[in-house]
Amino acid sequence: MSLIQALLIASVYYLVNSPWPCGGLGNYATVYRPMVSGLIVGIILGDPVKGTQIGATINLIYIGFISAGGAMPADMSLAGVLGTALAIAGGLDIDAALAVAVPLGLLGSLVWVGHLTLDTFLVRISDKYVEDGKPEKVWIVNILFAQLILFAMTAIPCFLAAFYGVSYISGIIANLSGTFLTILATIGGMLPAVGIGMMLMSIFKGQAKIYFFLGFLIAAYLGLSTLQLGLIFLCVALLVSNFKKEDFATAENGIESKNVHLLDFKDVRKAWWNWMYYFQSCYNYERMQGVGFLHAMTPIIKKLYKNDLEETKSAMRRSSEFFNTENATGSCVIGLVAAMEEQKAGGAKIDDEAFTSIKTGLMGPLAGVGDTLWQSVMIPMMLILFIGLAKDGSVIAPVLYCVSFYAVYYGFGYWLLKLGYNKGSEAILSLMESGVINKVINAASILGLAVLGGLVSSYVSLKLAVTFSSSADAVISIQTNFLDAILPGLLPLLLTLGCYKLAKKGVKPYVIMLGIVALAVVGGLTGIL
Amino acid sequence: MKNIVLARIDDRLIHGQILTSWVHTVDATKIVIIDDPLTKDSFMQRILKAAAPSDIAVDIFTIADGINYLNGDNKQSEKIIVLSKTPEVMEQLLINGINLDKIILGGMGAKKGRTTFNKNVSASPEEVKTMRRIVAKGVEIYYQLLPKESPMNIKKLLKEE
Repeated sequence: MSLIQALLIASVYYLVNSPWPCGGLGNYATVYRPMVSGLIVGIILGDPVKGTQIGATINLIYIGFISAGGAMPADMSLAGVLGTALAIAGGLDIDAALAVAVPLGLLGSLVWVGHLTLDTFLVRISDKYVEDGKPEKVWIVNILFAQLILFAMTAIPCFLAAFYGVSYISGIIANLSGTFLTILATIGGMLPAVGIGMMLMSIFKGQAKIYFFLGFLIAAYLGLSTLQLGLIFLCVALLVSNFKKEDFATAENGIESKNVHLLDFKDVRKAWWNWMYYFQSCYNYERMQGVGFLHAMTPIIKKLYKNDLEETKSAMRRSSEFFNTENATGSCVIGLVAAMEEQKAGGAKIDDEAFTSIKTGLMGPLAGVGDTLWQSVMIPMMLILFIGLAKDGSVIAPVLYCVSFYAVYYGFGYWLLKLGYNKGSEAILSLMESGVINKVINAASILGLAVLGGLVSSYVSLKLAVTFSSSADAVISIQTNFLDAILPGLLPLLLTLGCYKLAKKGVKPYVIMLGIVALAVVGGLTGIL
Repeated sequence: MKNIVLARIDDRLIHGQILTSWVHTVDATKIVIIDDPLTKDSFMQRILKAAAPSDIAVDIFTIADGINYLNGDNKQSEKIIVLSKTPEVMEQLLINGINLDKIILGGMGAKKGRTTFNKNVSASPEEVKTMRRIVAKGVEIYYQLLPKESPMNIKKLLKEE
């Protein structure tokens, strides 16, 4: 790997963790995912197809991965970026790439903890700007300083690992014998079962379980791709969940309650873009998204209180309190608080306590609904629609995924922003009570289950190598002569359900992975697998 | 007594960590929130109830009513998550005969009077004392955001200087 390539790889690792180009959560759902970063790394190293394939394979392990409320159990972006880079540059095949990527994922989560700890010190600087009443300076903390810290923590170690790691890794792999490579391939085939098992945790429930088996059987017998399977089950899901036009109208019916108009919607939109892009830029253990929320509100504060230093200070103070919610669903709080500030600036008697209680009251429930909708259901579901194509080497699949996610996610956020700003908290309450979000979650779960079943059939592999000979030249294989005759992919299915059961029992994902490694080693040495 | 599968201190109450992970891990059928002020806030009660999926009931009680409720007969197959914003509520439950195997500490936001206790948990000196008394009763408190993370016993953090 050349110096330039290593520098570029390091920048990619920084960028996918930064707010650019798709925004805080936008990045996390798109370029942060190994399927997408694999393509980018592949382009840098001159092999986009292999990059996409390796990235998609790594991504399968993290498909059911959820990071909620500041907890980050592993860093799939380091696994994706550095894992793909080392694999392509070191000439590793896809299975060996997995063996390199998984430990990197565990290592990477240290970056997250470090970032949240160090950013806590930045809160002091942000508080200084609040006490001076300087909204125009908030970006210096929330973007400049926070991103400098993140850059130092991500790019430097990644550069060193990429630049010096390749010869080391390829040296090790070159010295490996045949049995070891077989074992590595077995591990690579089995690991995706962990990711799928983890994802089943949140959607494999009640009668909907049938869809998982249905998807599996259709893929196993008819050989449909995950995208084909996805389109068929999209129709099924829409049919079953019984969507009606009125579902979405309930919330819009609320009455407009504003008496004064001091803001243009343009200002509110500016606040919203700040929120979508930089809400978690200076994420820290003390205030979580407090600095991000303050940064979002700066256009509103500047406009409403530009001639009143004391009001500016108190508006900044109440905006920088502890806050933590999901990005897109949190958009309605931006709208809501902007409207409240507008009324307050217009003379309405709204005390600080009212702001605090609406923010702290809504942040939890909105994150509950939002994290379930996006992280448990929509992100993995949209990913698995494209991951099959990507694994087969389609470089357009990651791009299509990013574009469609961005459109859906930002569209939803923008709708909620307008709802919160124009119709107020009652509208948000009636939206939540209407049950429409739960309908979307149910529909997406059905689709997700079916496609996951297909993924098991196509991309988890586990085969018995045991054979015996009945006569001189007839060799009977348990796998091809018995198992495949009944149901191709039976073992992968059992393996996946086993991983799900273990995860459900509270066994940690990396322990399950170690179990798989042990199984593959024993199976490989004895010749069973 | 009711079947309590998880007791958690977390001032955001129902949020992403609860709904994406904990309810699935413990197979909860019900979430019981114990918080005196909330019982007077009908808006928040409706929001919290609407946030939970349709197959999980949410009840919101005062401390006194919560104790009564949790002391009631255990219905078959009912699995309850108890949430409170502060350790004081958990202490009251323990004093009044509700047995908790352990308490999970999720999050307490920074505000006036609180200092950083551990990562995203801030606590006032009074709240630290309460946690000490809870541990002295033999109920361990673990800091744990998600079920797939390793729980951390906070005993060391509670040691007096």
